[in-house]
Amino acid sequence: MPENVIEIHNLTKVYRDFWGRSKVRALKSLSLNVERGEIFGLLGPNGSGKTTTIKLLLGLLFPTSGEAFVLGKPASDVAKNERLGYLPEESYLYKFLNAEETLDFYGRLFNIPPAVRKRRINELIELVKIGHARKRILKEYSKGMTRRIGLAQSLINDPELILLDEPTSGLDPIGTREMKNLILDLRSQGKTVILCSHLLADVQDVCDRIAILHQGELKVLGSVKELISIQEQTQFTATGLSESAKNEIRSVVAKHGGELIAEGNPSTTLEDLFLRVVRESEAHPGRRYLPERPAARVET
Amino acid sequence: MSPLLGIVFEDLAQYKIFAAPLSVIEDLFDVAGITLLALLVFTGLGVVVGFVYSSFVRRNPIKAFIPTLRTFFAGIAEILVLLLRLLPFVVVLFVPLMAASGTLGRFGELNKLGINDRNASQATMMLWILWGVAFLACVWVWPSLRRVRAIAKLSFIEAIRGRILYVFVLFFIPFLFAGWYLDKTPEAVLLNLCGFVNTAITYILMPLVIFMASMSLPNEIQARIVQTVVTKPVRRSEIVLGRSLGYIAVFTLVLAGMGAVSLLYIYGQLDETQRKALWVARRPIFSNRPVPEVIADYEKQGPGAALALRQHPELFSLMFQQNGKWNVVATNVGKEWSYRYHIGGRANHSAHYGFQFDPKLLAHRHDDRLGDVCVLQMEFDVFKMTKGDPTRDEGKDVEKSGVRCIVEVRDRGQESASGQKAPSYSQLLRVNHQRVTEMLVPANIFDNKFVEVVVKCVTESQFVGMARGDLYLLAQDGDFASNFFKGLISIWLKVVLVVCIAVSASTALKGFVTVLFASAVYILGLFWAFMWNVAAGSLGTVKGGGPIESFIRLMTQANQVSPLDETNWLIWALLRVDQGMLALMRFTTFLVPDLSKLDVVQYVAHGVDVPGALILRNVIIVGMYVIPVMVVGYFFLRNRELAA
Repeated sequence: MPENVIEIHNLTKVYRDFWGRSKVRALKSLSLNVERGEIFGLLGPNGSGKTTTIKLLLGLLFPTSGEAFVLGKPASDVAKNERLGYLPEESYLYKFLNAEETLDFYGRLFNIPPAVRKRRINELIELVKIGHARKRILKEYSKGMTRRIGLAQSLINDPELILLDEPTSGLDPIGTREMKNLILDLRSQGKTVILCSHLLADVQDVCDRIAILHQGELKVLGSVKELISIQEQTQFTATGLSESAKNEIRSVVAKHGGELIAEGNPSTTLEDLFLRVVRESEAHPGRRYLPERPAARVET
Repeated sequence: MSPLLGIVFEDLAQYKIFAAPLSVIEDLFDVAGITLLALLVFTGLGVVVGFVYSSFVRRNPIKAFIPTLRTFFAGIAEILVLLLRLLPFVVVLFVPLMAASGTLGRFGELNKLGINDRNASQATMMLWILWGVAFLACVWVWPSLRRVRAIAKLSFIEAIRGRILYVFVLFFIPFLFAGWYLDKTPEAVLLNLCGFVNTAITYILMPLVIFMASMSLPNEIQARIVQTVVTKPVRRSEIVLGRSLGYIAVFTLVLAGMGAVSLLYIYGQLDETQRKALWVARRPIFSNRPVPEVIADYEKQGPGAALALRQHPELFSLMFQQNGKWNVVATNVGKEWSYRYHIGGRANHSAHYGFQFDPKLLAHRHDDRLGDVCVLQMEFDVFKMTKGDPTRDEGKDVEKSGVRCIVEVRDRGQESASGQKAPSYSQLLRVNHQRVTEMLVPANIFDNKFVEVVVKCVTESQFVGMARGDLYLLAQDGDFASNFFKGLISIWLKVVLVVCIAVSASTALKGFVTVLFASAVYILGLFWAFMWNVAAGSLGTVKGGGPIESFIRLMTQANQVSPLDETNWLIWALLRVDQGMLALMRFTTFLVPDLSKLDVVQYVAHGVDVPGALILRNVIIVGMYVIPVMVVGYFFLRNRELAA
């Protein structure tokens, strides 16, 4: 039975200046739910309110109005952090600690007993592949390595819900692939992952559902499959087919009155969707994006 | 004296600096009650602050007010519960320290708590049982403090790896040259060395304490590292407490290192003979009980007087008898800054000190004439009515301004037991103005645990002034090194105070602002009395009014005391504003701790054992101050958007 790990009701965040005058409406009346066991992607251009949403969920910011529940508890409740992991957009870690000490410190914050902590630290260092540098202080780490240790600290408590802010930034292609595999692994372990990114290829590969934000407003919410599929078009991709078999398929399509329009690798249509949403939103601010409206195909 | 936090620094003025009996603790229970009251006032203030905060910052007075209020009370509860968990550690640490410093041996002084000499040993036993319970509680509480310990450890590592501690090379520089300049006369050598060491430690350590404790948390917030931390199940109270404990741990080590270096330095600077005389910590035993005649007299006066006497027997342990009347005061010779009262020579005046104590505590010496003796020391104020020295004819080299006194030591314990005339020992002494006079008393006089010392001046028309702390018996000498360590505790308490203030302030302010704030609190705290006098306006000793009035006087070249022209409406109005500002300043002074109250360097420098009671008082004072400071720190951190 799907159960909501995150519930957001009319969440609004207005940044104010020193005198209390409103400066930016970073988030406007956002409502959405995230179900247990899914990978949920928060997309949007820079300044669209993705990170603000994450920070509101974590209690790092206080909402101007509306409320958010994380794992059934209010976002301002410290107790929700017990089963939660968070990887910030850049790894904000103590530069004077080494990898082991960093993980040990965060493990202690979860009140994990020493024996369990030690086992867990070894597992995680193995997992993120920084075993060769476990005794070096973080000041000497490269960006990718810092990212890995950041990921490790977010998993120290074996969390049920993991919030990843730009998880692949600073990672090389291999690292990116490993990160994506890891995210899929986490889902297969029954964990919920929320990631926020503007690297659409990554999101498309791993996310079950996405929400696209623009200027603090929710524009699109739905499953990736449904959103990026073009309903009036059908696309077949197959492998190991001989030339005769392909001709046979083509003839079957022709027999049913269809026309085969594409063959080969599928294109990154999430990118299309994304650009369409942004363009549409800029044209009609304050309105939810309506996929059924005929939209101009954007060539990229 | 003070309505707010300053209340915990309430002057316990009736105790002379060297006379701190264990019963100060009893007064502290009163002070603690007042502190609780102060906390309530403080809470009320918090409500107002919360309302202002929620009204103006969140733009939603009613809706945001209740949750803000709730976080505030929850914050107080959270911090108190957290600190309560630290309490067993304090007990485990301090009970052995009290035992080592001989405080437990004087438990019988705690009359108000129902402890007297008869049940003192049971009370001590109870305290050790409490220690055992506290120890078990420590073991039990230890795992639950894992988060606090983690943050404390982090601050510790940060300090060590940040290499800021290299600044301590500075510490050694003054030591290389100080020996050239310090006065090495026998009376001054220890005083100067201790003063120098105290100054060196304080002035090098404190800036560093303030700087490190102030900069760290704001840096962490600015570098956003705090976002990774607070998204763990760590409470903000644990961050404030953990940070403070971490820095306290660092600076405890540093202070211990500095202390060891300083002690070796002092040892090295003293020559062999000086060391023999000065490398001690004398333990004075002060008068603590009124003599039976006083009790009888007070009971005759009525129940109120008798009650006062029962509640604070030590305050009546020095009584004056003038022309057959008992009184706590005697002749006032017009020395208005002195707490001493004077008795006249050959005038049927006498001073009576009552001592009740365990004679095992006394130091014994051998005297060829008297055999086994104990030591009575006194240091009186001599107020002369005539020119010249009445005692001069004894010899050419005698001191000026001497008078003769008869000091009689009576065994009152035996008398009250058997009703016979008390055995006594008396001696005619020449007493000089504020110079220690020593008298040897046969040890057997003290066998019955209660003696009366009667002082009479026999030089005609001269006055001898005395207070409770001016006449004392000497107990077994303590060790100078451990006394020096006790002196370090008072510096350590200042470190604790400053760390907590800086960490709490840094939850709300930017790094450098916190440094300024903490420095301001520290410096104002050192000169608290002056600050109070400035802020007190017409109540204080500093003339010339507040900031605006001073400015007007400066500009119009009016002197400090001449009245200003209040018929001028502008000056009239400005003076009213000035009074308002002074009131605000007065209020602010109560938020600053009076750090001079924590100073015990005088004890160490004079070679007098620092009373355990005084340390305990200071510990309680600092503890009482730290709790609300931490609540404030928690409140700011809790209500701060750490990602903004």
